[in-house]
Amino acid sequence: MGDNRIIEAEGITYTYPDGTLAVENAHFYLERGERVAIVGPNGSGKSTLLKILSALMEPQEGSIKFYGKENVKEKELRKKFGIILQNPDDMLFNATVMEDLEFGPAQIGMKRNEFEKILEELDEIFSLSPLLKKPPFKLSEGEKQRVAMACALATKPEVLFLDEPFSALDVGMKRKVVEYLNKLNAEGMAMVTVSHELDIIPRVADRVYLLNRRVVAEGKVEEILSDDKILTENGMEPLPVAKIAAALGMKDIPLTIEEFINALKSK
Amino acid sequence: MIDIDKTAGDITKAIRNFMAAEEFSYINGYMQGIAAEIKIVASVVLIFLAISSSSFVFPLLLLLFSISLALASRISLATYISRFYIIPLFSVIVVLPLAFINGNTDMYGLLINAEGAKYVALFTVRVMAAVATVSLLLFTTRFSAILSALRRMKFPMTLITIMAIVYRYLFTFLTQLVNMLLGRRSRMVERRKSIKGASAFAGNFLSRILSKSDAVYLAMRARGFDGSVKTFDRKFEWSSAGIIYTTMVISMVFLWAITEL
Repeated sequence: MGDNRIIEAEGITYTYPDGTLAVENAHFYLERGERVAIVGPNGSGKSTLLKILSALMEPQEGSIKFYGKENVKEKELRKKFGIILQNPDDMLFNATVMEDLEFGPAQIGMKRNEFEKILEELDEIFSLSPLLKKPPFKLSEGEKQRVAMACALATKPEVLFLDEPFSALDVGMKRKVVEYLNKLNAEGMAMVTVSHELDIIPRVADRVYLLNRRVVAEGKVEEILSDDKILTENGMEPLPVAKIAAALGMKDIPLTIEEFINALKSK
Repeated sequence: MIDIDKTAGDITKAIRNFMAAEEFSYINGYMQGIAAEIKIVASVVLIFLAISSSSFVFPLLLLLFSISLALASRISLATYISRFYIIPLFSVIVVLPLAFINGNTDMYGLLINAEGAKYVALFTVRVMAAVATVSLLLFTTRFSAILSALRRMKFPMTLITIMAIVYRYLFTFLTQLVNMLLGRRSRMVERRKSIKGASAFAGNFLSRILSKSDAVYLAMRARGFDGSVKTFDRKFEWSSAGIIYTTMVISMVFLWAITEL
């Protein structure tokens, strides 16, 4: 089990300089090829924890191991980790979209021809071609989010961290991106998704941490997202589909519309 | 009274135009096909010759040369000129008093110093030629290609990194400024012009960009930034366009020598 773990964190606490306690005594682990989500209400410390887990910030208390070791060089992790920050504007700081896409791969020493191959694949999913020559500030919010995602994926990461990644995407693009991420996951990429919207979680995660500064619950997606009580107590709105299914007295609570329809059909 | 919306709006527009110019470096034009190293070295040489000219001939020729190359690079005249006319205007303001100090020639009731007036005109033309040359380089060369070329030309890494970071942060500041202006405008019934309002806006802007700069630094680190900015190496290659351009620049050097020596 231990050899399989990419991240193992214990007792993580982080307080911002203004005194705001963001994360308190949190724990987390991620295994190779896993899909994990961190959910919680606004201000519950999700983004802070994600930055700590992706080695962008150091915890003030607690320990964190990457690949079983406590002191791993950040440079090594950057070659393996891809991160999509909450605000795509922060991610796009180059003169053109093309230069933004090149930034990460060039930093980690990827060969140009390898990058060009990856770019072709990313173009198919994120429709990048018409955007490549544009300055990022001319893009719409949805386009910025697509480009930010492509930037993180351009390094072919072993672990992808996503902070509220789908908020500006339209339904069609969201579906396409989720399918692509799951394809990458099937090929071995692990994913850590942070979100306060629960509807996307069953599609991008198998295991969930419910965070409210502390980890208040953890378990399989179906266990946590079907637990009305714990979600409500921690400021989360349970999935409408799960609420209806519970009201109908269904035994196995569906988490997506597709599951709900299948459950109704099989009745 | 300070109209902060107009001032900040004008600054934003100018920076946006400057940034948007990078789009031209992707067009399939004449100068775009030349290696960045050749363009950098040629620009430095031409600017040196322009600023060391004592007659009008070379700077004016250089201005014409730059405009012709801009047109061959599929940059419209209006776009090109709009990029560099401001700086010579400022330089005129700076040196204009020289035209009146110790004035001895009467011109429409104004006492003008002929030597001083000539210097003002020459200085302005030199600046115009130099800025036109730099603009052509920036219009037709991707910033990452410039950085890559400077690295290959063994420029100090610290200097290259500072250039890269300053350039990147400009985008962030610009976005912040645009967002703040929009937010302000959306809640304003009429424009207020006051020093107090301007200072509050500037203070808010500074504190915002401070926190934003932290976020951008994190994003850069997230994508492998470790203190030095790397770019994909673009191999130096002599293209036919590069050979022709180099020949033209050497001819310009001879022209300068003929007119100056």
